[in-house]
Amino acid sequence: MGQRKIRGEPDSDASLMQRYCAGDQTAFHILYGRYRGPLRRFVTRSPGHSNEADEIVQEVWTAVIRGRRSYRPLAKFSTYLFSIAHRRLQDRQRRFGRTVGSSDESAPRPSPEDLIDDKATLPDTWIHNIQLRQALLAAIDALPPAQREVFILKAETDMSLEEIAAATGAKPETAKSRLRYAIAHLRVQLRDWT
Amino acid sequence: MSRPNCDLDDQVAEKLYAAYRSSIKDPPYGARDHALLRAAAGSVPSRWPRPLTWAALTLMVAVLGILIAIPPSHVLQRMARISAGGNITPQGGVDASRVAGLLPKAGLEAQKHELEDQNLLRTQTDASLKSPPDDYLIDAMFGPAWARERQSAQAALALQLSAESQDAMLAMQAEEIETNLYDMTMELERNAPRLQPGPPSVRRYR
Repeated sequence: MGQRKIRGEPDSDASLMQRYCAGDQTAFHILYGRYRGPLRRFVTRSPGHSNEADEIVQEVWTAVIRGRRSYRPLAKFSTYLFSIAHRRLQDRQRRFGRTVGSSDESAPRPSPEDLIDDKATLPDTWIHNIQLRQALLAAIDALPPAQREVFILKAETDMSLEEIAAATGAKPETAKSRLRYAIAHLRVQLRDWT
Repeated sequence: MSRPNCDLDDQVAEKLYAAYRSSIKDPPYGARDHALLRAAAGSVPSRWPRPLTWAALTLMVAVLGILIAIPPSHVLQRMARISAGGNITPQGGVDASRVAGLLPKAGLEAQKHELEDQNLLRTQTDASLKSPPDDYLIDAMFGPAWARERQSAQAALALQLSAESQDAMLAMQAEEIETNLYDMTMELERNAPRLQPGPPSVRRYR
């Protein structure tokens, strides 16, 4: 995620958001392009919401648009955005009676068309990569929801563990241990591929 | 699961992050994306008119509507009443009884009396302006020559009225004397047979 500039630079997330608040629509287009994929993947891989991912993502962006007047660059824009997404997901879980720890059996398995084509020339290599990625995603989906959330946020954004803890409403030490457990679990699940 | 090793290999973690990020490609922009971008563009405040301009325009239209609906004199009178806290009487005076409640207790009576005096003075001035003009005011307006002429005319009129009244009184007295003489004569005639023949002078008189 090296495209996100440091706060204070002309095209950093915070300055883009401030430009949008001042009426610059292009700034919002840039910001939306930066976080469109990460936010969608974060919501899609959250438990119990794979079928409602598009709707939840739309709610999050709508909240950003509506709350632009009250936005203050006190934290990273990514922390602000994903904390909104976290609260939306929790609201959904409370509303529809899903618990955070429940597994999501209906999580869609990405088809080979959804996976990134790494331009492998050899068919065996291409198939191997596809299968490896499918196994990785399956292992991520098998993580406990809290560990999965922290892992995805760490992988998708440049947020620190403290910022992830703030976005998810957990203590920093809790977020840190969740990430460690998640990575250890993935290593175990993918040991046959190494 | 056993507790993970605290000296976790960061390289393994970074490889996992990179593998995850490169696993799913972003779908192309769809209808929801375009709708969101339109919503974001539509919610951006336009440069003009600003909210303050809208407020000024609304206020102007409201004032115009009030001026059209109510005659300006009524508006001014109402505004005067409002500014005085409702202490202006409909005739334009100050309601001392209402003001008394607003004034401090020290010097309250004095100020109340002063207001009452002002009201009395206003009433007297109004009454004097509405009464017929006095002669001295006209004399003052038209000068001393006019005053002298008016006074001489008034004196002549008084003399004329006096002479006429004296003539009328003399006429009344003459008529009364004649009536008395007539009554006396009639009385004498009724008593004449019982009188002795008298000197001829009496008969001539009759």
